[in-house]
Amino acid sequence: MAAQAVSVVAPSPGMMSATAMVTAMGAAAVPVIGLATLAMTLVGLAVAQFARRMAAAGSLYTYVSKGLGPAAGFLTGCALILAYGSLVVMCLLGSGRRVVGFLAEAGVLPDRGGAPALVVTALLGAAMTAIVVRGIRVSAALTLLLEAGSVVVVLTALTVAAYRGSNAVPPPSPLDVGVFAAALMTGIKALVGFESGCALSVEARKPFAVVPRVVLWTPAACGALFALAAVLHLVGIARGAGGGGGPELPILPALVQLGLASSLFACAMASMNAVVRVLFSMGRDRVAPPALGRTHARYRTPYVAAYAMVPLAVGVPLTLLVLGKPGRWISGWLELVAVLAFLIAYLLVCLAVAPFLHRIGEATGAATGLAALAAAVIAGSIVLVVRAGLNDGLGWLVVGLVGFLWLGLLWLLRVRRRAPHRVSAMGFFDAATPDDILPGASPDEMASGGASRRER
Amino acid sequence: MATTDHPPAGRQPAAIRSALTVLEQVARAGPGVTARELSAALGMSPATTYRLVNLLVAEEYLVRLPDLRGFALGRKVVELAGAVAHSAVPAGAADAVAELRSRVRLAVHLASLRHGRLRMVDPDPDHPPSPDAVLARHLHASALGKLLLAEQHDWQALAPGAADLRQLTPQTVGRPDALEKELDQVRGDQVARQFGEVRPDRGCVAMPVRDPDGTLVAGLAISGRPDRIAALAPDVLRLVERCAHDLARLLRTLV
Repeated sequence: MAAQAVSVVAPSPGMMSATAMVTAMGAAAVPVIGLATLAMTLVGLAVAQFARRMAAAGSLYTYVSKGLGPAAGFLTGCALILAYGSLVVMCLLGSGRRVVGFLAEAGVLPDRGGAPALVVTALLGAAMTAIVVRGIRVSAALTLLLEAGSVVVVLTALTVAAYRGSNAVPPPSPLDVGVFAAALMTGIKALVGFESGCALSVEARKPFAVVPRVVLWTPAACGALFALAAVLHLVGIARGAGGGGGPELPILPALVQLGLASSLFACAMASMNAVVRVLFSMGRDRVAPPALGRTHARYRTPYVAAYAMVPLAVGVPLTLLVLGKPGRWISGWLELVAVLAFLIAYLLVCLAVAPFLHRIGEATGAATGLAALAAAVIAGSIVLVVRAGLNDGLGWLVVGLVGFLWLGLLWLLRVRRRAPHRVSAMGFFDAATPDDILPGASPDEMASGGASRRER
Repeated sequence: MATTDHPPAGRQPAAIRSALTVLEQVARAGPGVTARELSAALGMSPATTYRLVNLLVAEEYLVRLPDLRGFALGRKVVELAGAVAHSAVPAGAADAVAELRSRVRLAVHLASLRHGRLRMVDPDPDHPPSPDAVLARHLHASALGKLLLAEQHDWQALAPGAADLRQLTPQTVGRPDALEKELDQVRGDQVARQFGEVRPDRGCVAMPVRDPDGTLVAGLAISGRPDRIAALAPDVLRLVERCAHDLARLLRTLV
């Protein structure tokens, strides 16, 4: 569970971008990281309000359906699919690039040519799909291992660099809105995905205790790691300016490459897990093809949804590699799409808190107030990110994203016209069954209705 | 995983007391009670109540019902209550047992054997069986307990305390290998017997009631003086067997 959330956040690449932010804007990076962390923690609080009250594989999709109704819920689902989907593509590409980079550093490969990258990415994609279908238990242990390893490697590298002094040029001090927006976007990008732990709540042992904890602590802990990375890099710059700056250890770049590769692979895998479970929930609600809601007879994983994602998750990166598009260029796009889609989903979930709590009669001033604050912060971030995107000439991407969400709504309208009850019954979650309730204490309707909805 | 369970601190008596009060109120009000109603009934502030119910749900003492508003007591309470909790026997099953009682003129008891626990659900009102606590603690002695033990791969895992096989009477089976042999026989015959092992003046024959998929759900026992039980007529046994067979269908909702 924690593994899932942490790996979608992918701390070590985030730490690398934290150092890049320092290079771009100097000491101001630390407060920006703090701000992004605060914003994400606020969203975490909002998500925890739901996670404490229901266990749903569809995570935010189901939460928003319960709070704001089917249309908003479906919108959230589409945004999440887009967000996780672009993360999978981004991470798979990045991971493939790093593995090839590592092999090149290690001298196994003559150069960083296209063919090896293609093969490596295809292999990684196949491995990822296999692990996702095989089930959570394997992948959680594996991702946690990969993450821990890569965080240690990157931290070591940064500490060594800080100790020896880095040759990076001290950045210019002026700070304008554009730089701030870009930095905030990087900071948020580094943190999104922490909510993905919810997707596994149905499969966890004590979901109502564990999931809220994970959702709250992941952004906070990862934010702290990023701030630490930024500070280490600042120290390195300061010492470098003082005249140090010896050569780095030769082994470190290779190790860092490997660490980043494994972290990105873990991120791809965890995003895949999350997106598959959103699709699965939509299939279960029968607002998407019901086949998506089928689980594997032996591993009890939503394998149809997993295979359905393969063309997108593995096919797109391979196509891009075959077309020979430069990696940086494409990941800039994907980053914008992912961040914006995540922010939209977050905004909706924050807005959903108040109506949800009100509906179940558990609204308190503190909870709704915090959710409203989080919504405001996220809305502000969306404006900034869209502005940054427009400045980079990526307006068409924003339009495309909005268009995709519209298509999603049109699809939902079509479903509603054909089968209105499906839409109104949206928001499948893992309800208590007679088995969970004290004998004799269960109301009658549960005895008949509960069991069939149980998933495991 | 993030399940770093803190050791119990024991320094928040007020919070624990409030949590227990909430639990009691849910038990009193019945399933479906909402957090707001709890807060009103207990005079606790809503925020505190919501925090407490969510904590109790997280620890699985309470269960949130599918409408997300109402609460009911959860599994953990069952585990606490153990053998004490009685559940209503479905009406059809109670009728079947009553009919058997009228025909065999022996004590007839129905016990739930789900979840590896022995729990009397329909004890004979005229000839009450030994107390639940005795039966549940000394599974090796009673016929119903033997049914339950025979179902396990390793009977010692289910009854760790019973490893010493306490002698309730001189007849109680005392050696693990003797018990193992007896359990093997139970597995083969699908009938468990005891003669004066719980009380010197009682003997008992118990038959399993199984789900369609073969899971042990309950045990149906007839009990009386050991010499009468030893010399039961075959048609009495057939009646018990048929009743157990009927119960399999009727007890599907018994938890």
